[in-house]
Amino acid sequence: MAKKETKPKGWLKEKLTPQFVKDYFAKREEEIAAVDLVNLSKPVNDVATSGPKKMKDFSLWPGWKTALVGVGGVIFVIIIWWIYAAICDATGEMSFLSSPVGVCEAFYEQAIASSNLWRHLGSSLQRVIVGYLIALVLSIPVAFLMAWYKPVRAFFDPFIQFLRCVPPIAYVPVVVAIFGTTEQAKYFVIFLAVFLTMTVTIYQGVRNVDLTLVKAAYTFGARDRNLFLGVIVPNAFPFILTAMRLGVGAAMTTLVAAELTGTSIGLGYFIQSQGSQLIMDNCIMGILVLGIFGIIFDKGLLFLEKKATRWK
Amino acid sequence: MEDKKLVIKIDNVKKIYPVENGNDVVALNGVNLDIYENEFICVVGPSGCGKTTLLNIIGGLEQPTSGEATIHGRKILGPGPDRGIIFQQYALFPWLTVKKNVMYATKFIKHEVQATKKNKETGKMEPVFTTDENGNQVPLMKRVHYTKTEREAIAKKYIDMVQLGAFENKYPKELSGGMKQRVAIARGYALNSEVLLLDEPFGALDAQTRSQLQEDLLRTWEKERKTCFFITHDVDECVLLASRVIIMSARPGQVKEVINIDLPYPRTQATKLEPKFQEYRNHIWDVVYKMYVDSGSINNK
Repeated sequence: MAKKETKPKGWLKEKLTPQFVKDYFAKREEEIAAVDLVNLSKPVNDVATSGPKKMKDFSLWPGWKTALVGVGGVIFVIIIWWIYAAICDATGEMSFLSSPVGVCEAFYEQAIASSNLWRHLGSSLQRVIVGYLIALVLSIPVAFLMAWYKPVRAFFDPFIQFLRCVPPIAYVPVVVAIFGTTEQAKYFVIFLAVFLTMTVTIYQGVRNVDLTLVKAAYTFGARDRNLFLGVIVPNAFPFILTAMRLGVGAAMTTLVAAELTGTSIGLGYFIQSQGSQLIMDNCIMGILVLGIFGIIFDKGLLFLEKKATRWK
Repeated sequence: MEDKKLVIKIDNVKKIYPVENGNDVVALNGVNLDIYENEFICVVGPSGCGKTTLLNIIGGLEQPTSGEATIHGRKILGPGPDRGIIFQQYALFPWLTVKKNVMYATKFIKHEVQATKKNKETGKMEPVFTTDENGNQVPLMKRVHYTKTEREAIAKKYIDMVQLGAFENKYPKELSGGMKQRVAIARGYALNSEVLLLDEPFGALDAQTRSQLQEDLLRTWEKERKTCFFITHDVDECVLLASRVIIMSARPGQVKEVINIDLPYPRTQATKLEPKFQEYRNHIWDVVYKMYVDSGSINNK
């Protein structure tokens, strides 16, 4: 490859003299003025008659078809997994990867033959619920204050922006240093993740209020207090519900990190310990239970959200 | 003309919006205007002439840079239920049904009723009287909020007026633009303010809906003669509705001409066919169009 010609230092400054810039734009003006608009050929219009090839429109698909594709996809992935596990089993390679059958057996052993799984799940749910509720109770006033008062926003904003960029698993050692391996440590990790998510979402909701509605309320004689309860809160309400759903996601995804703060009980601990002992049946079963509970919570809140915001 | 009661006085009002790099925008440059009781005032003018700013100042949503706006001699310092506003963007609360939206108008206002007191002997409520400065027995009045039942009755009356009785339990998102604006009008009327300020309320509607709502507004106004301050950029609309038209000029916003529209009410869309209507219309159109040309909004090479 030929050596690239290097330009002398400061060439750009030398070239871009005021005169050059002036001439350049003058030339452009001339060129634009010189365009023969009368004889300019017309745009080609034959595209519209044939029309671009459209993608199939799925917007009118009935719900059962959508559900069928979803369920079918899950079954498909399970079958692929099953076949893969069977091949590994037959060839003797990677034999520690469990199969769907193995996971079902593990579920029977841990959840039906014994109550081991429920014990772990119970203490995890307790952590999730406590952390989540504290976050819910604190994030709503903080978000409203941030949206309402600039100094409050200025105070909280750096912390929120910073912590949003740090994955919870990174600050686990710090939390242990502060709280030890207590339950409070788990509550705190979950609380922090949920709090950040919810505060940011609710804050957006409060800020997003249509100012015409505020003006309208004032013209009807509303005071600040009436405005808050009658306009700001209902307007932010859908955002609070969305925040609650996002919060559940944050709580569930932070559970494993929370239980890294030292415990011998909990679903996150269960998944970790079984995984590190290469008991993959239990490990995958634990992951599935965790995910399924996440979906159940999410759907429950989604149902409430739809009910409560029919006006939206 | 008979004695007219002055309601709102705009006294040499200036409004300047500061811009960071100098060149402050002068929205209103010394506007004087008297608004009398039972008037229907329409303000027309090119965009940027400060029509909405003027309405906001009367409504108390903005404060003038200098000069002052008064209602019955009291300086307008903020929005209040004596001046209802109907916004172009409807401003309906999306989380409330039609009925609840209209009921919101009567939520904070008070009215006077005669005070009552329980008679200890009979256990019945009895009206209370007091004596005025001349020693006469007069009912003792107290100011109270409307009860929920009263508010529902008021809401129902105005929802029926705009013919939306069948939709009173719908949410705004389920209504068309014209229906939303009718709800907004019903809510504005339910407030029963002394003055009604309308900021291009029909601007975003199609021609048929607009004609319909103009007629509805005329019928209602002819009945109650509530003082109206109506902003529009539609010349036909302003002549059809107004008892007095204010033409404003742009940059800086000033009152250019005031025209009394001497067409008898009740008016209908058929009024537009009368020669006198055409005269007013053509005159106003000439003045407004000339301003457009002068301002360079229209290139008249």
